[in-house]
Amino acid sequence: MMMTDRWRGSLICLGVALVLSVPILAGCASDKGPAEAAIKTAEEAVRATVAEAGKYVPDQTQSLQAALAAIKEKFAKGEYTAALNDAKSLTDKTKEVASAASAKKAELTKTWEGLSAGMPKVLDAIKGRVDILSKSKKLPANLTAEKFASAKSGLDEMTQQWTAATESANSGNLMDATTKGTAVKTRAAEVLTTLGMPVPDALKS
Amino acid sequence: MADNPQQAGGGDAWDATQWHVVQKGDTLSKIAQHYYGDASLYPKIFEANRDVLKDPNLIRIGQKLRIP
Repeated sequence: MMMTDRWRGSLICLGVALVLSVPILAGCASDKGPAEAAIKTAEEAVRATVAEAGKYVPDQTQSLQAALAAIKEKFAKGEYTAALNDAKSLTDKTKEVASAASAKKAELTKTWEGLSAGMPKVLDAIKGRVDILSKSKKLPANLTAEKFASAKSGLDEMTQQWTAATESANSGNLMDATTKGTAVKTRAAEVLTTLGMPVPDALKS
Repeated sequence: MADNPQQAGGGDAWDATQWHVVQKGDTLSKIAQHYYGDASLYPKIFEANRDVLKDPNLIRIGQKLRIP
């Protein structure tokens, strides 16, 4: 009699557990379709954003791709609700990255426009002075032969690097163009100082 | 020769032009000697200032010369 009651109790517990788990399982399974759709939407958003944004905010675009891979992994494991929520968040995050890339592009464009308008004049001034000093029988005070040799090699390096920067800008790689252009700017300030020439304000910042 | 104001002119933040304000006793040769270490290079300064100089032997105190 005691065993029968226990047996009955166990059956009731099992029944209750089954009844409770059905809606949960049904809920998870019902998220599969929406999750699939959300992942597709997120994937398209990421793909559309990464190509352009990758040029300006590469770290952030890599994060988007990593997040998308993680979502797909969750989906594959059957974690549909989590995949659905993450996919929706990723679509929003993608918009933020696109916006950040747009802002960075505007910033780099402005920087490059300043460099491309100003650096050629600075390099011309340095070249003009180096050409004259190369014809001088004796160097001016405070300019040793070693310092002058360093200025000349600096001019060669800057000329090459500036050409590379311009090529990068022409091919749409503003990040590389501004990095190289800014390096030329820094070096130009050093060479001007070595030659005893004034350093323009734009090279001081 | 004392150092002269050498700042860029014209309000252009990228202008690397060097200027020399003529002082008493200055000649183009002396100026060339100061900036280039070689007085014989004075024609470089004369040519760069043809807009304000007609004769390399005639410069005025206070005149602002471009040093190329």
